[in-house]
Amino acid sequence: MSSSSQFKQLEKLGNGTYATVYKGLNKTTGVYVALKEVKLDSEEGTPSTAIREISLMKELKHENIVRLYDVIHTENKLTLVFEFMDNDLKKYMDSRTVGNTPRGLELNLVKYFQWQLLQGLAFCHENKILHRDLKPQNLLINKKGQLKLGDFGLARAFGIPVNTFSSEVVTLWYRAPDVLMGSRTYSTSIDIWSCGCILAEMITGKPLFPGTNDEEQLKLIFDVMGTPSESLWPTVTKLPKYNPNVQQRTPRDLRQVLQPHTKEPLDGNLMDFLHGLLQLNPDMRLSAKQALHHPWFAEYYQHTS
Amino acid sequence: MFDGRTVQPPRSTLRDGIDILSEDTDQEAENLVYRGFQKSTKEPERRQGRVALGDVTSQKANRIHNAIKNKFQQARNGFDKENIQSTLLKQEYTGDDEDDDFILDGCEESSTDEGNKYNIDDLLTQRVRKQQLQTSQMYEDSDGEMIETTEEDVDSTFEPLSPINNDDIQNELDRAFEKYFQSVPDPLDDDTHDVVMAVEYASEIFYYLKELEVKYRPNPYYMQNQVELTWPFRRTMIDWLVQLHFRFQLLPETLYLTINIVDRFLSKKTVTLNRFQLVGVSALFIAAKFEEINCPTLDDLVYMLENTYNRDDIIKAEQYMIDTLEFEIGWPGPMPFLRRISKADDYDFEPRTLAKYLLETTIVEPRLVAAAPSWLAAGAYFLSKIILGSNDWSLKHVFYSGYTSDQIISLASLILENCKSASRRHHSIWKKYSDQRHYRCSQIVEEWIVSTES
Repeated sequence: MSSSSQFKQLEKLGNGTYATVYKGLNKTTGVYVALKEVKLDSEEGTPSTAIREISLMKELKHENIVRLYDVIHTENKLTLVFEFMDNDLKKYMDSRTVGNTPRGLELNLVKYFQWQLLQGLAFCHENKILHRDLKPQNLLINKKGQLKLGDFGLARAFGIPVNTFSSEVVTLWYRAPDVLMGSRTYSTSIDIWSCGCILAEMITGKPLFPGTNDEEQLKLIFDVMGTPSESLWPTVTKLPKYNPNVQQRTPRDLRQVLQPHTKEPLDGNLMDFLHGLLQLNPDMRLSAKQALHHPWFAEYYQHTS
Repeated sequence: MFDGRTVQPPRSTLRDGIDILSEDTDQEAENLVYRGFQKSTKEPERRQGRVALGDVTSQKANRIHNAIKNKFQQARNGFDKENIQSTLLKQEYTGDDEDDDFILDGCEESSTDEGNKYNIDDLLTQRVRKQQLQTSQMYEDSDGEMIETTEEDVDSTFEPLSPINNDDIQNELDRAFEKYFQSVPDPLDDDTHDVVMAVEYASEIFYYLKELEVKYRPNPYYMQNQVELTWPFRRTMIDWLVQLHFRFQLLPETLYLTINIVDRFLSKKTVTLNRFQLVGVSALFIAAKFEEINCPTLDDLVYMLENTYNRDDIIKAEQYMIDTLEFEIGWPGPMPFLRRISKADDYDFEPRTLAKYLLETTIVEPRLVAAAPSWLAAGAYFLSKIILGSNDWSLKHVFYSGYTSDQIISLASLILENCKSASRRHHSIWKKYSDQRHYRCSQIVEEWIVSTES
């Protein structure tokens, strides 16, 4: 473990789910880092979020996951020393807004980011870890165009079969419909839904389902994806918050929803891929591994393997 | 329920319906009456709110805690008794004497009437024999009391148990792998379509879990480096932790992780007897934070400790332990492996349920402190199948467990041997599993043992 005097604290970068993040400079190596400070004056000792985040991230060493270098534990605070990243995807997209009109990213950049997102996520899932809070704010990027998963404050390890978990996870806009309906037996598919929402948001520059509460969130999802049917999702009626009286909707054409917000044409592969991520039924969603083999990524995997 | 905390979500997976603990308070209270803590009067009526329920819990907690404290005290003061215990304990480990009666449990209230239960002459003979062999040493404990300890307390001479390996075994493992390994999920297998089975990642995940179980292995000989602690003390504390864990209705994973944290911490640090319980409770706190949706609060814990330690003690201990373990908490424990093996029998409910009891008994066994959780799960499941009358350990079982029967037999025998004195050896576990909600597993095992011996 290093000591806190080794780092010079620079400007504040933002507030995480349970901590404040500063830019820092390692005085001995001259390397910039991100210092995530967790206050320990809490009622309950070391926060469970910190215990999980640190123990899980120590296991996760991958080029698309932000690297945890060190942890400094002092009497009243815990400092996590992370690899420094220039920006996060949310701020980057915001910076592209012209006036009040959001602008999506160029499709080749969208694809590169999505590829990296899924590489990082597949690694998490292979290491039995669910992220459970994927959203543009938690995807960190740098000037080289690299994208890395960050903020594992809500992450947790899962067994097989997956135990029941809290349904109070994932920021509302990126929360899967099964979780919104109270499912506690979710698995890796919970992160895949978020990936679908993020993909659409990168294309258009604005969130796909910006609900303000659980009910509205589901309504926004159903307005686009259609209401779930028992034939396509047999167990949906058994979910705790399933509402049989919800107004029936037929699925809209996703391309028509997204195309007006981007100049580039959205091709069939991309739309098929997006549909694979945004399946209402969690069992039907692509896995991260499958997603990486989708034809939309053909140019990447043909190069790599 | 323990107190006025919000009702816990059902602690079940889709397949493990039996893990659900009922909310029935009376049943709960009934279940919490451990031997030696029998209630003389009926519990007061359940009243509203935390305070009321707290009263009830407090009484029980006091009883349990005082009993534990007495035992720690007894153990600390009573040199003679402790010497006898360690003599006997040594016999248990070296296997010189097969008489079960000589396994004296440091945590048992019943040790007060040992005159009735044990042949005192035998005890004395052994003590003399032991004193000839040992050199005693004195040291001062943190309360300033003089304590006598013995070489044997410090150096329990037993060998940890681990699976054997040879060419035949390797061949069998290879054959199982060739026959059952599929790189692509089988579309005819129900699991493939079940999201909670994460089938696509299953083989990678289990490969990785096997790495972790080696990485987070405690030192099996750590007790040799402990000055004040002995294996009987560990057993006492585990018995108490089992009760605490049960009281808070925590997941089985949390219990196993707690014990792993204690053992790994003790592999790195020496702990005085009067801080030992603090280590245990802090380990439970850390494990619960890692595993549980609703974690017991500090106040809950301080309350159960009857103010032996305060909030600040636990916070400091927690921080110190986390740092010592360098935040490496993600030990897999045996539960995922048990469920995995169960796949070989199409997730047959009975052997897995019985195996859960057998598996839990391994946490008090010193020879298994550093045993791989995957192996413990295999051993418990193997024995469970034998008890249920099926002796086939097919290639499929070899594949899903990762062990051949030759590798498991010694472990299964040890678990069985320990279950012969279950009510004394691992009392709280035995008690918990004799309940209807745990399908009377410990009773079933006992009845089976009786039937095979008659």
